[in-house]
Amino acid sequence: MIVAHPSNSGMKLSDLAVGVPATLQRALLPDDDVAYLAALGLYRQCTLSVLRHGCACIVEVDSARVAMAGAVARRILVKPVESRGGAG
Amino acid sequence: MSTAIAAGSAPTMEPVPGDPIRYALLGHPNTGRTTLFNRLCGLRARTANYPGTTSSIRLGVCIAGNQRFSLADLPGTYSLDLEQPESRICRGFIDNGRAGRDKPDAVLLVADSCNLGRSLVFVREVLATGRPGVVALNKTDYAKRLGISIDIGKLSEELGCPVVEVSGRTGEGTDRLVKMLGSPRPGGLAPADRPEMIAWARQTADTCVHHLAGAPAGRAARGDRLTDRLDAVLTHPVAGVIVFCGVMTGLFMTIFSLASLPMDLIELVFGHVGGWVSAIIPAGAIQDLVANGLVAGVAGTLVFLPQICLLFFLISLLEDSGYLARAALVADRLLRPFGLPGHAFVPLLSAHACAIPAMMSARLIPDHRDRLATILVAPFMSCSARLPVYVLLIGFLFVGRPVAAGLAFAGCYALGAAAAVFTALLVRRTIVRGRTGAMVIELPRYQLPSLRTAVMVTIDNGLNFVRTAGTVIVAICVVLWWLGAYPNTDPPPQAVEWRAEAGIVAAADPQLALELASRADVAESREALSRSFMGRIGHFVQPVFEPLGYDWRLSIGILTSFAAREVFVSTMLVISSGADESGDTPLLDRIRSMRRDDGTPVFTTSTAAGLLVFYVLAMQCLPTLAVTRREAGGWRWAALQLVYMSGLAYVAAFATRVGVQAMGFA
Repeated sequence: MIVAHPSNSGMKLSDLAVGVPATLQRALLPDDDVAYLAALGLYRQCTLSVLRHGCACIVEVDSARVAMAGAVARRILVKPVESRGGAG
Repeated sequence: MSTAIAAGSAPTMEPVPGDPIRYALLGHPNTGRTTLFNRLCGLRARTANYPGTTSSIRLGVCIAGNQRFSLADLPGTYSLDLEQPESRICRGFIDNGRAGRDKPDAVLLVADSCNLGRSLVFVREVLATGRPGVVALNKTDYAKRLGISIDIGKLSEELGCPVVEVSGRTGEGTDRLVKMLGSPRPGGLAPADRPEMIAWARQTADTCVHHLAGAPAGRAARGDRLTDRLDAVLTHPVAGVIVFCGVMTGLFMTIFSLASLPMDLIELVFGHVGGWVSAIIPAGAIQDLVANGLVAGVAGTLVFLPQICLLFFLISLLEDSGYLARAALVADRLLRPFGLPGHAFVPLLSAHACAIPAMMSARLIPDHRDRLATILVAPFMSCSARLPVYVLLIGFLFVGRPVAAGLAFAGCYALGAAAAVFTALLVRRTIVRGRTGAMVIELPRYQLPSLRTAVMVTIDNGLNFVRTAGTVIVAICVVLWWLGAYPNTDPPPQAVEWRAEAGIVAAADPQLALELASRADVAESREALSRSFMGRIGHFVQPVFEPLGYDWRLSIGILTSFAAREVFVSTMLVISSGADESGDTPLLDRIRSMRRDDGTPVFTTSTAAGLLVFYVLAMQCLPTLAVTRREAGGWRWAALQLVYMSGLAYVAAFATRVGVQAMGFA
């Protein structure tokens, strides 16, 4: 399982606004699922952004579109990437 | 398009004459691996099961001059290290082939030119196993349109093995790829952990991939916008479900309507073949075996082919277009509460046409537990073979009440679907335990589907069905024919009398003679069936069906319809002829006038209602069991399916009969 420092826990991927880049902090999922996510490009500290929340949460990672059920997105913690201006 | 071979690498493999270099074809899902395989091997391919699993591997041969290469198209996987069936199969095949057979000498790695960095992680992972390899950069036609240029000389140096640009879709570059298959080289890359591989892949992609300035980049952006717009509809919680239902209904209706013509044609042709065989082989046991056993058995196998071929053709088009991944997402929300993944929807829907192609299409389901659960419950869906039985029994139950009859029809379909999903829930909590994997799926780009790939997939699956399940189905048909046809019995006196009368009146009244001969045929068939092994078994098992209200004739109907459900109707046609001497009365009236030995009617409201429920739920189809054995990986699954479905049908039919009687019906 991907483990991050508690202070880096971040927000749920399901709550991340569309188009906001973020880094993956932690996936609170069984090890097999975490390994699968990593193989799909969703590994710790990868940069991703949400394209759509609908039937599923669709994210763009490494130029690929990956869709996941809402239940999975709620168990992935991300941290929005701060803009150069310091917002966020 | 070009090719590059790393300088200073290990020497090429020298092919042994007559002994082809064996390649394992590997790559991520959606990299066009199977399209490339079809392009390289054409029809020189066959499907083989991977030992101990329900997954299949396609084995093919490609030829370059006097060199032959054997290719094994392995399931797409994102990594060799995952605890998933596809990953395990790829690992096992690279190390040991299929239990020692077809062990690969080298690997052919398919990478996506449009997303090289992503593919390179897997390429490095496989090359680090030490196998010699060749890397095919696929989809280069599309990459060029997007303005992507790859320095394959640099990439080949980095990987330490030949790299070839190809397009499986157009065939461009495949000649060069085939030539390079004679020169696989082990990559010079050491094993590494995933973060290190990811960093390396990014750096390598940054070095080797160049984005040309100008219009093509706009094309990529337009493509993304189109994908966004389509996804906005196709994965929408409401619109997505509506489109999904429309697409699946269209798929189902297309199969149902287009397959009916070739199916009728197959039955017609084999009817003629049976007649032709009867004409040239002298009457007797051999003629009977060939005409009514073998020919009927082959017809009983081939009649499923149109549905199977159409289903695989259409599914291939949907998959290639990129829609199927979106459909799986939508369906996942509906099926997940019952322990089934979204991928199970296509098999369950197409089972309404026929459970056999439906169970074969369950190969789409990535997880083997999900696949097994789907195979076990698919026959609950009301297939087209049940329709004649529904028509007969609902016609009996609701005479002159079309609305009630329509509701009863819908009820039959609903009962089958409900039994399927609740059985799936039960199965996933008992015998096929295990967590249903998280629904995470890569959404491929939308594209025009490849007709060539669809045709190849169709041919491969059709031939595979005939070779494997078909042989078992023919054997089953022959056995059932033998049980119903033997031992030979003398015709009943009345049939002899009618036949004699027909001979006397033939010249004066040919019409009457034909009618008498027809009556004699029916009477002989009834007598032969009653005294056959099947008839004797019917008498023997009748006490088992007594609580359901079935006499020995209905018991025979249940037994004979194991060959196929619709046989129940023709069996009733033969058996009920005794209730009406003329043989001209409609079947419904005839079964209404059927009497038991004690004079009470055979078909009462409660018996017919129970029988209807029995046919909705029972596994009355031995060919389906043969396919279950093949697809689920053993007879034990087929036996379990038979026992469970029959048991459930029996209990439900009994409860229905008792319930209907409690409501005051006979």
